[in-house]
Amino acid sequence: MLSLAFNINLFATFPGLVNKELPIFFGYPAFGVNAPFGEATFGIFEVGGIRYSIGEENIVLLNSSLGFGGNIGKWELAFGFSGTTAGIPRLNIYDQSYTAIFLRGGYRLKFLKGGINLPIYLLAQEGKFSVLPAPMIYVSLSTQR
Amino acid sequence: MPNSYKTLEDIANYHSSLGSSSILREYVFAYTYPYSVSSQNSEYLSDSAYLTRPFYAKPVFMSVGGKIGKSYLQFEGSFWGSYTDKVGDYDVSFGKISFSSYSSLLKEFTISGFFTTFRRSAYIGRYPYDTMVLDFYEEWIYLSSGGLEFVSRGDGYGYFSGFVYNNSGVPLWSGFYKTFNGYNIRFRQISFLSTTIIPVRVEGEVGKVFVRGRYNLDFYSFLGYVFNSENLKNGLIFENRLGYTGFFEGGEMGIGFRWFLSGGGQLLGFEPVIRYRFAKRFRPEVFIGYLYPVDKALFGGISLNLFRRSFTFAYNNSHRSFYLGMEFEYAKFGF
Repeated sequence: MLSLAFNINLFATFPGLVNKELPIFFGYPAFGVNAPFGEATFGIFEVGGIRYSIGEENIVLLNSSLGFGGNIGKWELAFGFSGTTAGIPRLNIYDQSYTAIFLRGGYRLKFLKGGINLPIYLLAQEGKFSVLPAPMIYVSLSTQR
Repeated sequence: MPNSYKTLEDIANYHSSLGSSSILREYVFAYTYPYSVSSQNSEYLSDSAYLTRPFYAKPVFMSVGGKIGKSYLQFEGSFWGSYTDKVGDYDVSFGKISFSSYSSLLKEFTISGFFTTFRRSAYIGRYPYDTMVLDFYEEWIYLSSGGLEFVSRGDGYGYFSGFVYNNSGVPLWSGFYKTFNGYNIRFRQISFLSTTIIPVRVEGEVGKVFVRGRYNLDFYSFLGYVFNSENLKNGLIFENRLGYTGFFEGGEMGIGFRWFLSGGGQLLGFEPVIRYRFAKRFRPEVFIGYLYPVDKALFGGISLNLFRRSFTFAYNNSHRSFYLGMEFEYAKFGF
């Protein structure tokens, strides 16, 4: 029976491209566990975040993702749900939480993986439903090939 | 953690905010409301009731099912309440219908629909009325919820996901479990739609049984975390359990101890339980336990296996309640 694979991930996005108020680059580390379900499928669980200051302003982002994935050759595809709690005073966000569906596609090279992670945030407040995609790139270092 | 906690309900509510389905071994669908802690203004919501009783006490419970071809259909329902806590009383009803089947893609899978109702009353006081003295209650919270859950089980692993619709948010959860090298692990994530004030929470569990021939040792550890961007340590909670099962000619003895710690290392509660199952006809089992910090939280009982049915009689001193239950192959009843 295959055992668990542990990962250290780095997620990054470029919010400054769509909003000049925001930093051009934003990234955070995450610790993850992959549990193989069979030869080519697995469960993913990741928790990560970052906390830093710009002047007197603290920015905090915590994120978790739990999903289901599969390997096709050296390609990896996954989907699931992400939960994000953020404190970004510049955007009037104070300890607020959001849910997203994430889709992920990446390429494996021995212990290293990388690709695109696309969380699509589901915003349903005051009777209105909308979505906010937040594309990211990621690289991952795993304990297993 | 509110400073005012005093009873198990306070503790349980706090744990419920972390979604620990294991605190009292109850089946919780994770539609917990993180602010349902007992405090000065005492806000209680759905799941708090799930967590306020010992694992065996089911005042009214029924489950019945049967095979339909290669599939399985089950109905489950329960009702319980409390009339002894410090705020007033509550009652909870729960109903569930499950359909299980098998496909090569999803393996064994189950789709369940369920609903709950929750009513919470405040105890106003005891007043004279005509020639009598009556207890007055005021109904102040009524909630109903409905949801769906999907579970897929393979050989040594499983994946589950679901949601509940109610009027305090739409929790959406997903998780998976896996068995490997004798270890059992489980991860779960819960986040909410339709509100941003309820934080995300994540949970991880690990357990293992060490088989030693004449005895087994087992451990279980739970770590939960509610995301909190203001204070990262605040949301941590730990539950740990150690167990011993000894095998003798006369029967089998189990000793279990579990305890709960907050992120700051504060002890929130503990529960020792001792069981003995006699190797005799009907396989009678006696058990006794103590649940701290509930006042007089002693519980105990006896169970018998008769004609392949399990009968249990138990007493819980904290609720001053008796439980009589019987379990069939495809059905359970309890009162």
